[in-house]
Amino acid sequence: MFKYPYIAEEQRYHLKEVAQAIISSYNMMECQVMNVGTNDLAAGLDFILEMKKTANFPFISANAKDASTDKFLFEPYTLVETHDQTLGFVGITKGDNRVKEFAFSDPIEAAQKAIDEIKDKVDLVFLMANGDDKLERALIAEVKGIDFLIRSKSGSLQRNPKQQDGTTIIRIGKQGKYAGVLRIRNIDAISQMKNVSSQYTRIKFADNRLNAMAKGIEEGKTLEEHFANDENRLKLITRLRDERKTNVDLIKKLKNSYYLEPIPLNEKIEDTPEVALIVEDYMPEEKKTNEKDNHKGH
Amino acid sequence: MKLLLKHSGLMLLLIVLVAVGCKSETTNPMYNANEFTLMVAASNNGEVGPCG
Repeated sequence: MFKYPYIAEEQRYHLKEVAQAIISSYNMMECQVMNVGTNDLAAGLDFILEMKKTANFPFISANAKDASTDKFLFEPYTLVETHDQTLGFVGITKGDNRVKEFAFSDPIEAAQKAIDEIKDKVDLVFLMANGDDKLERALIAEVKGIDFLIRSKSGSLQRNPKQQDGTTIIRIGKQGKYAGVLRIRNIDAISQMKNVSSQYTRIKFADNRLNAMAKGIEEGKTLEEHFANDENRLKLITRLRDERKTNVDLIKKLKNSYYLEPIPLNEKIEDTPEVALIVEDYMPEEKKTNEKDNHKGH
Repeated sequence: MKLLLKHSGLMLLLIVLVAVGCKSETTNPMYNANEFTLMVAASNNGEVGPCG
C-alpha cells in the first residue's frame, strides 16, 4: 500500500486515504488473499489492523509480528477452494527495521512451518513472497513443498517462469504494470508442472485468425461453407484448425501444466466502473482539475 | 483496476481467483476438472498516488 517502509509526516493523511482506496478496490475486485508486505506496514500497527478489518479478504503473513508483544499479527496462510481443488497460500515478507512497531521472524523457517501445516490439506502450495532475489534463492533452496513461488518486489516481468527443484517461480514485474493470469491444470501430485505457454499462444493465435475470418459471415454458416469457393482460405482454415487441435491434445496429454499470461494494464484495458469511481474519489483536487483541463484541450 | 494497480505504489501481493469456469468436459457443466485460473498482481516501487 505504500512505496517505502516509512511515511513522511506531511504525507501521512493522504497516503492513508490512498491505502483505504486500494483496499476498497480489492474488495470490489473480490480479491481472495493479500500477503502483507513490509511496506504495507509503514503507517503503523493500528492502521494495518484497521485495514485488515476493512478488507473482505484475509491478510496473511507467516512472519510479521507485533514488536511489543512478539505475537504474530496475521494468519500464516489461507486456503482457497476451487470447484475441485484446495489451494494453500502462505505469505512471508523480508522485513525491515525501519517499520516501527513490527518485528519479523525468519521468513524461511516461517514459510516451512506454515507449509508443513497445510501440505496434507491442499492440492497445491503457493508461497507469496515479498522480498528480494536473495530471499527468493534462499526460499527455493531451503523450503520444501512450494509448488508456486509468487514474487513481489521483482524487478522485471518474467514471461517464461523459471522452474527449480519442483517450484515454479512467478515474477510479475513491478509498479503494477502487469496482472498475471495464471492458468493451472493439476491432475496429480507427482508429475512435473510443465509450462504450456507456447501451446496456449498458438491456440490463441489460431482462434483469433478463425474468429477474424468468421466476422460478417451469414448466421448458421460454417467457415468452410462460406469460403467454399476459396481454396486458399479453405487450406488456411484447415491448417489453423489442425494446429489448434494438435496443441489442445498436447496440453491434455500432460498431467500437470500451467500457462502464465501477463496482461499489460495499459489504456486498452477498460476500468471497472465501480473501481474507477473509488479511484476518482481519492484523486487529489489539483489532479482532477488538471485532468479536466487536459480533456478540454482534446 | 488498471489505474489503481498502475499508480498506487502497492507493496503487496494479491491473488484473485478470477474464474474457474471453462467449457464443459466434466460432470459439472461450468468447469474443467482439475483446472483453475488465478489472477496474480504484485507491485512495488510504484508511483504513489491514487490514479493518473
